[in-house]
Amino acid sequence: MLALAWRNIWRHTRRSLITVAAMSLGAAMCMPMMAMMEGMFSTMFDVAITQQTGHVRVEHPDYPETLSMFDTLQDAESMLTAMEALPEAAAVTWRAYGAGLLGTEDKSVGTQLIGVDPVREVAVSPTESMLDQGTWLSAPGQILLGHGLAEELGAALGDEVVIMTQAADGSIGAGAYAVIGTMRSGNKMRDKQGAWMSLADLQELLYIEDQVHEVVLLASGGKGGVAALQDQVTAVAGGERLVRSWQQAQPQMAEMLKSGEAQSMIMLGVIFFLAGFGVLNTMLMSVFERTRELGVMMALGTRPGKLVQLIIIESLLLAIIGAVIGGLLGGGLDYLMCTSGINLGYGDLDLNGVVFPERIKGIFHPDQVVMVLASMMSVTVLASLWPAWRASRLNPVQAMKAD
Amino acid sequence: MRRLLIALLLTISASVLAAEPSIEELLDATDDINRGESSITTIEMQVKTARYERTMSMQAWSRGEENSLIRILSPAKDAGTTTLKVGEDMWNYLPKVDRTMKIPQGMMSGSWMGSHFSNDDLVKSNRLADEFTYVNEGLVDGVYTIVCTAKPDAPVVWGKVVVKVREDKIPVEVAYYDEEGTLARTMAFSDVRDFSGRMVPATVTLTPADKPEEFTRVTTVEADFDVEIDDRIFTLQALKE
Repeated sequence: MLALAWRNIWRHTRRSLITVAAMSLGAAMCMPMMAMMEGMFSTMFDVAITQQTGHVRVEHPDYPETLSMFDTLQDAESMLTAMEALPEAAAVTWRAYGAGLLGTEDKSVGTQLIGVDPVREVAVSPTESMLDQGTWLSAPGQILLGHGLAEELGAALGDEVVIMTQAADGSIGAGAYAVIGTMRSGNKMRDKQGAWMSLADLQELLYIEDQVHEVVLLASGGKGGVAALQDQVTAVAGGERLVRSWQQAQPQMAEMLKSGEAQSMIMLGVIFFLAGFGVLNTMLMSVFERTRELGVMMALGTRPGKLVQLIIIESLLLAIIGAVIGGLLGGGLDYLMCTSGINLGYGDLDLNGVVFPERIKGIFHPDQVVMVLASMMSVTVLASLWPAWRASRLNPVQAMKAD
Repeated sequence: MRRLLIALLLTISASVLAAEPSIEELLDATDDINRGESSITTIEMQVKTARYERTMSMQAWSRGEENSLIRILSPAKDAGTTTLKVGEDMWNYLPKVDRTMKIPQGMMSGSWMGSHFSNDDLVKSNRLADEFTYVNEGLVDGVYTIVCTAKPDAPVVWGKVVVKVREDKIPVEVAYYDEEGTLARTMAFSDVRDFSGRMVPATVTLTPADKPEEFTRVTTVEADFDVEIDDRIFTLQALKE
């Protein structure tokens, strides 16, 4: 039966090849496209989630609205220790924010000050890829400037900048810091007017010892573990503390990621719909052409069910060849997409304040291949059902009279 | 500088003038009192906000509208912090890091030294009589009420300013309204005293309208007028000394 099906599909070499080509191209296009979408989602997720909200976040109940320096979490140290002990927490960090005037004698700019824990932050956000130049924070007195801010100030690595701000006790906070690098975090606002410094330095500058504006956690169960983590955090957070999931803190981003996933599903659907029609057309043609032959087979005692099997196996063979070629081709494109990326030619693409690098790199996930190939198989089988059904309904006598 | 120093630097007041003052004279007296004059004053600034309350003492050197230098003397945490104004430019010297910073245009509306005064209050030299159209609402109990409305396109942040000034040209109260006509803040003058031969309201209290429990109160402790001040005082070099 298999041998018969194999022979059958090569009776019309050109037609079969065209069908196979259509399927494999479809699959080959889908794979890197999905990798690219994954790459874009992950950039968005990094900017919005790992650099800002975390999977779960804790803050002063008033802070989300006021963004006031004074609305801090007190006793931050003991709280952090409690959070780090939670079984569902994969990584925990704490941050403080401030605003100040940053610059030199000639030029200064209003700046958002981001106080991060140099060690813990690395476990939460992709600090290495956020760096544009220089090195990540490692000692007191260091500062990283958003690349736009550094350009505006004309500050280079090794330069000293001064920050002047209003401390929490009303006094004038001032500090001098060495620029050890510039940042390209993907957050447009921060890249333009943000400066990263060690949490301890910022707390000293603002006179907010043992206080932070947020504690940010990543769930060990990834996105699926958010609810469990949120429950555990709520249990230990205590009163006067607001615990929110990333979906609660960033409803727009949650919506955007959801609709993005839906879009890529629709795209996948369209491509396979077209590929499905190709298979349908090929198999229908081949059933029509073989009416006589199929009639003879039936007259010789082949049962209709066997004919259905034959047609489906023929389609499946086409699909498997398509999958192998498509998989190889797609794998190659995937590799290129994930290593050197694609230049969309827009320069830095800005979407809702998230800046994508000029070269968008894909992210490979085995799920992508499984999904593409599995949907190709199922579409093919579905598309062959109708021709198979037609073949099984042939009347042997009339069929043999055909042509 | 002008608005902050109104309380400190009132010039020769109406006692010398026999005739009834014109509106222009009253407005000029309110916002242009130290023009062409020089002064060295010691002041205390009390700032009360929902979050903190603190008092700073400062010394100020001023010459005309162009130049001034204000140095914080106490508390120790901020001592030595100095603001220099030359024309429309402003620098802060930060002794903690021994550095000077120029305040950019974009930050001019920001708070000056944690008070309710903005940097603009110290720097801007718009004149009420030039940038506003004004109507004298009349004299009640020796106090004129003058309603000033900003001229279209005038480079001012206020839509309306209501000035209450005594017959002797000593201001009583200035109320600032935003462009929508909502009261933004009130500056009240009180405690008129004699400083080196001239009558000056020693206390000026600025109250933001949206936070009535908060205020910044500037009190003049000592004032010397028409003194010789070395040009060097108003330079970046002197800022650090």
